[in-house]
Amino acid sequence: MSKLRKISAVVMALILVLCTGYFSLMSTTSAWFYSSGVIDSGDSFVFGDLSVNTSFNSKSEVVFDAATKLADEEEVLFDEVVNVEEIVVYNSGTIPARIYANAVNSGSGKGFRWFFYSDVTAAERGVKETIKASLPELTDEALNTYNLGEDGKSGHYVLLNPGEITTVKIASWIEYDEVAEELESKGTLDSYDIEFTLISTQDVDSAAER
Amino acid sequence: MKIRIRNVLFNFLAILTVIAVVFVGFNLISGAKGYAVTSNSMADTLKRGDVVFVKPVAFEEIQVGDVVTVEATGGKYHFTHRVVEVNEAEKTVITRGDANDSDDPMPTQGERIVGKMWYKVPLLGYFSILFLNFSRSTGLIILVSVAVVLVAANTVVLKIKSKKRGDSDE
Repeated sequence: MSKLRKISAVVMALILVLCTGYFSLMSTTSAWFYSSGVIDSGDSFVFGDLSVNTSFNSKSEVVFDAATKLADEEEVLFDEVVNVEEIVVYNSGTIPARIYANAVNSGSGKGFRWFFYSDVTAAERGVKETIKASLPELTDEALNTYNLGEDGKSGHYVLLNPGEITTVKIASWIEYDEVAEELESKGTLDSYDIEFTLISTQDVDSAAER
Repeated sequence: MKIRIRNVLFNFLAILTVIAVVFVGFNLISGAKGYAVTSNSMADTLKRGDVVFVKPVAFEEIQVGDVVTVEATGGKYHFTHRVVEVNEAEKTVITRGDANDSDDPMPTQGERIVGKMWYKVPLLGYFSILFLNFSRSTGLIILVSVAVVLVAANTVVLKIKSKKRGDSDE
């Protein structure tokens, strides 16, 4: 092999490496956002694969042992009666995504309230303390704004980066004042038909549709 | 026989280099931007591993049926979907992945459209997908290292050969 050919072989190899670099460092493009998952199958919610649903629902019959009062500072048994749904969420896609939640009481039971969170310290400090730390005041209005936003379409969300996995929680309870009469006459609460929904959206404002 | 294999390899390398240089040069000169497709939301038009090349286009030229690449989250991420509705008054489009059951849930502002699909190259995107786990700087370091190793290996082989030749001459 002549010297010229040897040199050109090295130059060509270098050019090929540079061209490979050009292709390798190209930006990627993925789907807008997509989600899939069945809350009933191990309470997991995986999104980012090809199944293109933007949300999923889980209808549960929730039995509350007792009613409680969120705003009452003297109510120390709040955490004992609150129902907490835990859902493992995983972003298998290539773009960051927001997880929004919704909980709707489709039955006739009164006093249903809910709160969406993923605070890792919540297990230590308790649900009520987590709620108190997240709301400016313990009122229905503040709770609604936190959960659904002022427009009723946004609200609190959990940001999940690609490949990230976490556990989100929906706490729900029954406000005592709204069921006091019923409790007096029946002695117990009926079960509640609750529809829990998780929605994954792209990490931009106004992307959530409820 | 050895020389023939070497010649074939050399010619193959030369052809590959010419194709790569022409291809990269063509895209750089034409202003086309390439994006590696990482999901199948546009199947069968675009599949994972394809590279879609897009060219900038004025909003007025975008029509229903065009496939456009849109930048999201501050230009860091992109998606490529088909335009299903154009709102000229608000300068927005509604997009949808060909494989998706529904339209994307919010309109896309015209200014976020990077370009319209020009052509695609299958499989080329796997280079980029392989590098997804690395940051851009790490990817560059890896490629430069490969180049340095290639040059170093070539230098070592040449030196060994010339030494052997020198020994046999003596």
